[in-house]
Amino acid sequence: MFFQSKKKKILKDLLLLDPELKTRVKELEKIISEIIISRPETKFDKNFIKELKDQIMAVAPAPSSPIINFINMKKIYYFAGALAVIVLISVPLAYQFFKSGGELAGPIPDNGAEENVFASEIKKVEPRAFGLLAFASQTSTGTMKGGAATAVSSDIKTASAVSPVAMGLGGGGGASAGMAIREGEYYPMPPYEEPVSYRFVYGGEIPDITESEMPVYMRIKDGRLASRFFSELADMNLGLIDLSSFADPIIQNLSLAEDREYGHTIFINFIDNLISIDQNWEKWPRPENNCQEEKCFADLRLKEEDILADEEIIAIANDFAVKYGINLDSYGPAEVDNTWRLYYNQTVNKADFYFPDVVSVLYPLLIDGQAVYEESGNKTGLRINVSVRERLATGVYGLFGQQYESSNYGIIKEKEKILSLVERGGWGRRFGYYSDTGKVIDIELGAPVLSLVNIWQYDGAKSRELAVPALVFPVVKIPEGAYVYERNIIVPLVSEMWGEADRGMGGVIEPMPMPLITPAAEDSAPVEGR
Amino acid sequence: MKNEKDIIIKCQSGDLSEFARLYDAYARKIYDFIYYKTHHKETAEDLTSKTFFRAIKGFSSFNPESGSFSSWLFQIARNSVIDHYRSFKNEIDLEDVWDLAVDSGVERDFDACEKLKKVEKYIASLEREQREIIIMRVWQGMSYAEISAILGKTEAASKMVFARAISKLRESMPLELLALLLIIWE
Repeated sequence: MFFQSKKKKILKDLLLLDPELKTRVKELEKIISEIIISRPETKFDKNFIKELKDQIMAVAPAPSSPIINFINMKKIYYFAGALAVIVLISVPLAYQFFKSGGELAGPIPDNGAEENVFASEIKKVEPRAFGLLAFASQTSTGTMKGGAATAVSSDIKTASAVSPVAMGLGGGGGASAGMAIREGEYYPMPPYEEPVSYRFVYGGEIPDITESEMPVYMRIKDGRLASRFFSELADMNLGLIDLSSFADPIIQNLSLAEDREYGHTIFINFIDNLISIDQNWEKWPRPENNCQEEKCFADLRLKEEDILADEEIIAIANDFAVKYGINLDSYGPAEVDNTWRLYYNQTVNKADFYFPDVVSVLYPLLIDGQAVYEESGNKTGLRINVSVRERLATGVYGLFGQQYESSNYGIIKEKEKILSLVERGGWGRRFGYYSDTGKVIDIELGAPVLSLVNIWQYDGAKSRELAVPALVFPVVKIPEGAYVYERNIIVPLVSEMWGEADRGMGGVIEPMPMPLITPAAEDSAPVEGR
Repeated sequence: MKNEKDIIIKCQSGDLSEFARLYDAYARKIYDFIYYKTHHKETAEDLTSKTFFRAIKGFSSFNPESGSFSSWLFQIARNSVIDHYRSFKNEIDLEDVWDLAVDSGVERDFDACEKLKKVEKYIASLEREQREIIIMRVWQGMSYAEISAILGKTEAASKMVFARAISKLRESMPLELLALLLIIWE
């Protein structure tokens, strides 16, 4: 089709220039088709062009102080505009610079993108544009469920999403489901232990909140790339199926794999504007696959001296980000997630501890300059995982387009209410067990900071991701023996969310004791012992 | 591309970070333009490199009032090619490979030579401006608007030059070779 249109254009050119050629049109058409490849190939080399670009931009002089030419008044307006832009950019950058203790906030690679379709954007919309925020979040990443004494916290859930090895709990065991129970035998109940309540204590003053409204941010998932990528694929007839027969198709997701040693795979979700990178497992060594016995597995376990220093782990993550042009503009300085050290410190038999193969580096998400936390109290953001064994980055998670709408919502101001929820453990523990009549352990909190908390809300199959203003109270002191893994206690400030929080307050949720094991039925055949 | 004029203003105010956009818009065109004047990949790459380095270093000397950026950039490219060939034979007014005899000994890509065997003598017989317009229009697929911006002419004048070049070729070339020239490759 393309060649035909070009051929027609050439003929039209010729006929316009010399109408006498009309008598020789058929002859011309035949010749054009046969000799089309006679044009010399210029051997255009994309790699050369890219390398040349890098070299040229490397010598591009830095912006010099603009000289105001009073003769050409037009330039003054351009200078004033440029100055305004410089001020607008430099103030938040300077704030970040000094806030991070003098270290720049992560590498910002020049990825050469002509157009950043994922450019950060916050679009302000009318107040309460997101509707009711008061229905329950169902599968929040950080919600704690169950009793306060349980050791399974959202910290572990976060860690296990990264690597099951990072939990560091070691050991195994427990009753096999197949054990035979003979008639008349019962397994003794473990002795009843009084449940422990944790009281989170803040002795300072809640800061005065002067605003009656604050912005709530909702991440936009507009599938902006869905129809742009590889649209040519939709017209292809693969032989097995004709894709062009699909009406108005869009590309929803795409995965690519590096076919090289230590290569990676990238998965792009165009609908949710979400990107993740993982190991291309076929290209990474897996020595455990060669193990036949326990000693082999034990020999592969890392030791404490194998764990890299935080600086080295961060350097590996930063290098990976630069290499793949990962845009870190919307994130704060890198921090190593050392949650595994909390479990290590609590472990009695440290020699049997499973040191993590993979350690996660967190680049905290910033929206409008504010840090964003999960309901569990952990910071949320971009994670780059680093293999301690290979000293290489293994994957990237939480990389998504930073486009938001912001809408103002009413803010709660009653300090007594805020402190009451703080005492119970904040938003993450609002449905948890709490009783001030039993054993209570006090956990000391520091002064709160106004930040944002990530809230997920579901409406049928659709989900939406909100960032809600909240007070974040850092946990500063945990008594020995207390199983508290939160680093921060979160109290959202949007007033209409408090109806949900109130449901968890005032009432006591009693822990239920385990039922006795009943004898097996007579016709159950015993199972071979394990 | 973002408004070229805005980019040029920003570059001239001292911030050359936007020069990358101009580079992206013109790199291929400049390279092809030079290749059709040299018929040698390495030479074309070398001269493309020189063109852009001269452009970025001399950007402050570009006067938007006196012509388009493309005209200025292509003139730098043209001068780079002239400088290159004058290093071979200083006493002869050389502008590009078309001015050289086939057996001049200057390096050229073999496959380009083979493809151009039939048409070379006819294209070489054109005036330099005619040859440039023919190549830009036919092989590089540029519009008359682009060509006129590069040459600093009006569109009508560019079309007139193109028409005269075609007429000259029709007088000297067999019809099938005329059609060869008028294939636009994409």
